[in-house]
Formats: sequence, structure tokens, C-alpha cells
Amino acid sequence: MNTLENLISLLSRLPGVGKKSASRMAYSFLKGDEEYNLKLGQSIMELKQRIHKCHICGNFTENDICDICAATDRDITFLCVVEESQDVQMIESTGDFKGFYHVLHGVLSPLDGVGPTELGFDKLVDRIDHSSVKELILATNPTLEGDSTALYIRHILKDHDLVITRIASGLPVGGDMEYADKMSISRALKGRMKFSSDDE
Amino acid sequence: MGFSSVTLCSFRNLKEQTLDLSRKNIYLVGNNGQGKTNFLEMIYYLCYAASFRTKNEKILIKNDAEYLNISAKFHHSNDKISSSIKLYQDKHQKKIKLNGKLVRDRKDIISNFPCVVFCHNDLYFVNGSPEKKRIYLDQCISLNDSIFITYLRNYKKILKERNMLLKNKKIELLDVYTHQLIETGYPIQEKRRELIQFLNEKFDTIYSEISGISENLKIVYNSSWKKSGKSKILEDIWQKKIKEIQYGITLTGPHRDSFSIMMGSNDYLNFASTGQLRIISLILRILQSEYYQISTGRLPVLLVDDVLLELDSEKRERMMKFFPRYEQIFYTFLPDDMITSSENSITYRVNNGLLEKIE
Ligand SMILES: [Zn+2]
Repeated sequence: MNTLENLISLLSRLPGVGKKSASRMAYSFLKGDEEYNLKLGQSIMELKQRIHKCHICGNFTENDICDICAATDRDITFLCVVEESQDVQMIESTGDFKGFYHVLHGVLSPLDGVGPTELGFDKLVDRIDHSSVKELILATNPTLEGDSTALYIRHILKDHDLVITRIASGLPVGGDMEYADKMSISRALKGRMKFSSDDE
Repeated sequence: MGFSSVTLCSFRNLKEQTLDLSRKNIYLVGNNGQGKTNFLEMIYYLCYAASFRTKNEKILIKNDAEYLNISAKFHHSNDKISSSIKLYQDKHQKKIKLNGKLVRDRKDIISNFPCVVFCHNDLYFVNGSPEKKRIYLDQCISLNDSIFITYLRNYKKILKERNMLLKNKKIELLDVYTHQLIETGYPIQEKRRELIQFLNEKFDTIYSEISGISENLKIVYNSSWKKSGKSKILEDIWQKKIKEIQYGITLTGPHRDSFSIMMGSNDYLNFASTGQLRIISLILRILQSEYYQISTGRLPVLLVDDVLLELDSEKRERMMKFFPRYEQIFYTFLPDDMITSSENSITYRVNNGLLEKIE
């Protein structure tokens, strides 16, 4: 296998990249600017050296402790559990959540060998035991695996003095019911909320 | 209207050909082993991208061929325009194209042109294993409710995971997967019970009219969860926990359920003749078609493979009185059967895989 073929085969292992686009990328590197290639290569090399998981929450950071965990103006009574670092970014981009996070880096999937040990739930429990968290928000995805993971967390924390909530799921805002899939509609119906002016 | 034409290549023993199907009644006449059932199977394959005779779809490809290819036009009488469907299958993969667009999930075509097949093996719905009986129930529901297919897939996944936990004695996760087993299994049972309620509205009346005997039959769902209500079921499973861990397998749930045809408190299977069981299996198919029609407002395509031949002419006539309405029907006959052709029908002679129109 020559250098070009080797690169194509490496690129095509990336998520969402097929053989065809991998080959287009490789040829574009070959024809393109050498400085760009060097920068890209360097960035990829530095990625794993510089970035690691935050000691407290598991989110990716260049420091020992991530910016969110280091912040002093956030609400320590809220803790939000998510599957991946990308989820933290998504929630942060809304600006609606001022609590802290816990990143699992996965979900329960016994068939793939991912169990409680692999997801480090003891760390989560330990963290809750040593903090002033009052509400734990389970924001794992509304999938079979995400639900199982949320259920397990609820199960191991059942004797803790803590409010546990599950992120709501259902219809996309601004979306048309007509275009939503049946499972989402069904879930939205089950998770319906009281709609009255009582609390005004 | 139904299928208006089909072009097929390398499907079982059928010869490469394009066929006009633009009538409501399509009759296939020929001796056994000539390809009549293969043709019905091909129509079924167009409807569901699956076979009713085998799970191994590679054997659908003609012996000396690398792949099979079928395309057809379908026009539903409720719709303004016709649809096209193409199916390709080689030894590794299957490709489905609906109106030129690649379909990724088989469940997305199931509700497009549903068919109901009446075939010899339907007898297993009545006297076969619980698995065969569940297939009947789940097929009826899946036809008009694609969310049910998701329910089944989810349940199957949770069941597999739970069984693995039991087998490897990973007890810490058992509670979660028991909870999930009930959450995903409960709606399956609910849907099956609803279906059985529907079946019972007509089942006994039709049976006594066709068979000429009044037996007061009732279809009863046999649930392996003996309690009703999620929390009661949970309690029940909890009590079986030690046994489940010992056996390393999930002992109760929709994957263990079944149904029986009951005469009072007795299973009718112990009293009925094969002929009577055949009538019951036909009624189950008739009601499947009606269930589809009532819940979707559309008519199915019917595939009838020889099954009526086993009834005497009197019962056959009475059976026809209850025959469901259909979009199109494909019917197989032996050469000496009487066929009444009309302007609403096309008759094909099937000989060694070749279909020839009989004018
Ligand atoms: Zn952090």
C-alpha cells in the first residue's frame, strides 16, 4: 500500500466519511498548500497531548479542571448528567443552564461491554456525596440506552436526599406535528405537562 | 387498482419477463412445481422486501445468477398517482428503491402496498408453536402501525441485554433492565390484546357460518405475565429472580406469550379436525385483511395459494361470502380447476417458470 492509499484508508475510518470522500480529501491534501497540511497534522497530533478529561466533571479541557468547573458564578445546587462532551457544548450554547455538568462518555450497553464500572458511576456518587447538589438532571438521550442509563443512576441514588429530574423529550419546537416521527409524538404525549394559569 | 406491471429477473425459477398485471384479479394456472407459488412470493417480496417462505433471502436468487432484480408499478385506488418499487438482492445486500429513492429501513415500505397471504403454512397459526402464533399477531399489528415495529425491536434489544446480564450474573443492572423489559413489553401486550378483542367480534360467527356447527369459540391471549398493571408485573418478576438467574434467561414476557382458540374452558385444538383447523386459519387471514382495512381505510392485496382447494365446494362457497374486500388478488389454480375469467381478470399459464397470458 502506498502513502496515498494508506491515507485514504485512514481517513475513511472517520465517522461519516466514506471511501469516496476520503479519496477526495487525500487528493486535496496532495494538491493543496503544504503549510495547511502541516498545521492540520500538528493539530491532530497535539489534540491528545493537550486535551484530556476534567478531573471533576469529565468534560474535555486543556487544564486540570475545565472552565465550567472552575467558574465561581455558577449554581452549585444543580448537576446535569450528559452522555458526551458535545452535549455540554450544546446545552451551554443555549445559556439557559447555570449549574454544573457530569460527562459519562457513553451509555449503558451490556452487549458492548459497557457497564457501571466503565462509566464510572462511583465517581458521580462520590461527587454528589461531597457537594451541595439539590437537583440532579438526567440529560442522557431519549434512546433505549439513554433511558436505561438514567434509570440506573436513579436506582443507585435512590437513598440520597436529592431531587432527580429527567430532561423532557418530544416534539421539536417550531416543528410541524405532521413531520415528527410517531415515537416522538407518542413520547411527547406521555410526557405532557399541565397547561393552566394556576401559577400565574 | 394494485400492481399494474412487474419486470423480474432471476427470482427463483421464474423466467426473465415483464408482465401486465393491470386487472383486479390475476389467476395463475399450472401444475405444482412450475412457479405459481414463487410468483406469489415475488409479489410478497415487493410488498415487504421479505419472503413468507424463508428467512434466508439468498435462496431467492436463481441458481446460476449473482443477483435478483424486480421492479413494479403500483397504483392504490385511494392515491392519485402510481408508485414504483425496485428491489435488488445479491449474496451480501439488499437495496430497495421507492419512487427512485433509496429506502434504508424495511419498515418504511411495509405500509405502502401491504398484502395478506393465504397459504398452506397458515395452519401453524392455529396448531403451531407459540412463536408462529406470535408471528400472526405481530404481523397483523405491524401492517397498520409502524410504531409497533419499533416496539418489537426495542423489546428484542432489551431482552437480549437482560438475558446476557442473567447469563453472566451481572445482578447490579438487573433492576434497570427488568424495568425496561416491562416498559418496552407492556405496549406490545396491549396492542396484541386490542387485536384479539377485534378478532373476537366476528370470529365465532364466521366460524359457525362456514363450518355449519356452533361451538362458541373464543380467542384467548395467553400472557406469561400473569398479573396486570406494570407494578404487579414487576413484583411478579422480582419473585422469579432467583430462578431466572439460575436458568440464565428471561422467563416471562411478550416473547413467551401465545394465544389459544378456546371452546368454553377447553382448548379447541383437542377436538377439532384438520379441516376445521384449516377453516380457522383462513378466518384468521380474512380478519387480518379486515383489521388492516378498518384501521387504515385502505384495501390489501391478497395472495391466495391453493388453500381453498382443501375445502368442499359447499364450505368454499360459504367462505367466499366472508372473503375480504381487496385492492387486487393473485390466485393460484391447478389446470383442471374451473376458472371464470372476466374483463376484470387476467389469466396466466405458468409453465417451468414462464408465464403466458391466456386470452
Ligand atoms: Zn469540569
